[in-house]
Amino acid sequence: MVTKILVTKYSSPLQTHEEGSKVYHLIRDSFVKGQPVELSFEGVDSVTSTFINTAIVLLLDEYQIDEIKKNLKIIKTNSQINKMISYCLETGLQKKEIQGTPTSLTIPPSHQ
Amino acid sequence: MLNIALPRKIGAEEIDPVFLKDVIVEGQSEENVFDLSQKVFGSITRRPSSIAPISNIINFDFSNVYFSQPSGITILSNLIHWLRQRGVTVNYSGANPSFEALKFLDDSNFFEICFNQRINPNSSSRPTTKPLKLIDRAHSHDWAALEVVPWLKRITSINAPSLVALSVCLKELINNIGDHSSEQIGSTFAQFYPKNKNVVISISDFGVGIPANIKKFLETRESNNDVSDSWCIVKACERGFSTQSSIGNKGVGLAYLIETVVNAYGGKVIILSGKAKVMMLPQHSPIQIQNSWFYPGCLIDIHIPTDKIPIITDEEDEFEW
Repeated sequence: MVTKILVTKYSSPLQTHEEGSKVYHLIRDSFVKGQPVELSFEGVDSVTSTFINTAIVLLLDEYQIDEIKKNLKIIKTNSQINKMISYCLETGLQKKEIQGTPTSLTIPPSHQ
Repeated sequence: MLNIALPRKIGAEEIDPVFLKDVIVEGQSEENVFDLSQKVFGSITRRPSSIAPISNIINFDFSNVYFSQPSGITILSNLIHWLRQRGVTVNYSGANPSFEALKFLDDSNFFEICFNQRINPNSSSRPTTKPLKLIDRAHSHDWAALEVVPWLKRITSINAPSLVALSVCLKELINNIGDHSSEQIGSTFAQFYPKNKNVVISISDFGVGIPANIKKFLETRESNNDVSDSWCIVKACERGFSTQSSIGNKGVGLAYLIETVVNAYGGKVIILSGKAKVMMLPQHSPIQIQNSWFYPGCLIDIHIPTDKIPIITDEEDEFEW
């Protein structure tokens, strides 16, 4: 079952790490249950790097990028949001390459 | 009481010499606002907490002021509020509202914000300025998205989607006031220069400053922290470099600002912090200047050629991995 998350329902205006943290925990909780996520940015015109880093890039600490790609669908965005997600993910992946691989490489079905 | 005669120009940039030729008396020294701040502080060290006001009563004399840059307005505002927070009585004199430079400061809300009164009660904001405002991270969204963007849209006729990236850059910078600054407050001011189709946005705080923050970070990592302040600023602008002052801080904010303003718009970004000034220009390595004066905090001046902002007609999209 796909978990559908409308980001505006949980945080607004999507700029601080506190707001990103709420969304991160929703995504992570679903991943932990083995459920893919559909993340909707409907009604959002822009996001900061702080928000994206906490909501999405932080997942790289636990999951491989291929697993995130497979399990996280991001919809109803615009060019700014897309650019910011790509920019932050590329930066996060570069840092990860430098720092090494994460401790957990797969989505654990019942990891808490 | 300490009387400070403000310099002729209040700002962080070099003023075009052509502009100055009629107003500078040969041989007269051009004191800038940084020299001024050195007079106000009792002692200057790298630790802002050890900086103390030199007097309990300070008067700023505006008689000589003939020109103010956005950076000068924000820096002076920070300085005055910093003094007040430390119990200093701050007064002003020589503010003749018939002088154009003072009229401009008054119209820019400077006297109202810094001294709780306008020098001319009938003064009002000019369409080409986004007046001086004190701001904290809790209000960064309102200021960037609900004030600056509509103002830019009005004066430049650029559509809102095209200004979204810039709005995000501004929010990131204000967020950094909360992330990096011990003072938690900053001053903002923006001006549109219609002749040059140029907008200058100045954001500054009187917090820890970039060099002090990075040196502290290097110290905790047991790295060599004997580096210049300008090196620290350039490092802070590198994509991916972060002192990890918060979870969401992964070294994207300043890099994204430079990517957007310098690389995409062909504008420039000037950063002042500690004893350094760094200028980011299109297709140019960062220009690093090590200064003799010390700026306690961080000033970021963003220069945007408004006719170079790419026009976007945004439609709903889906993120492609």
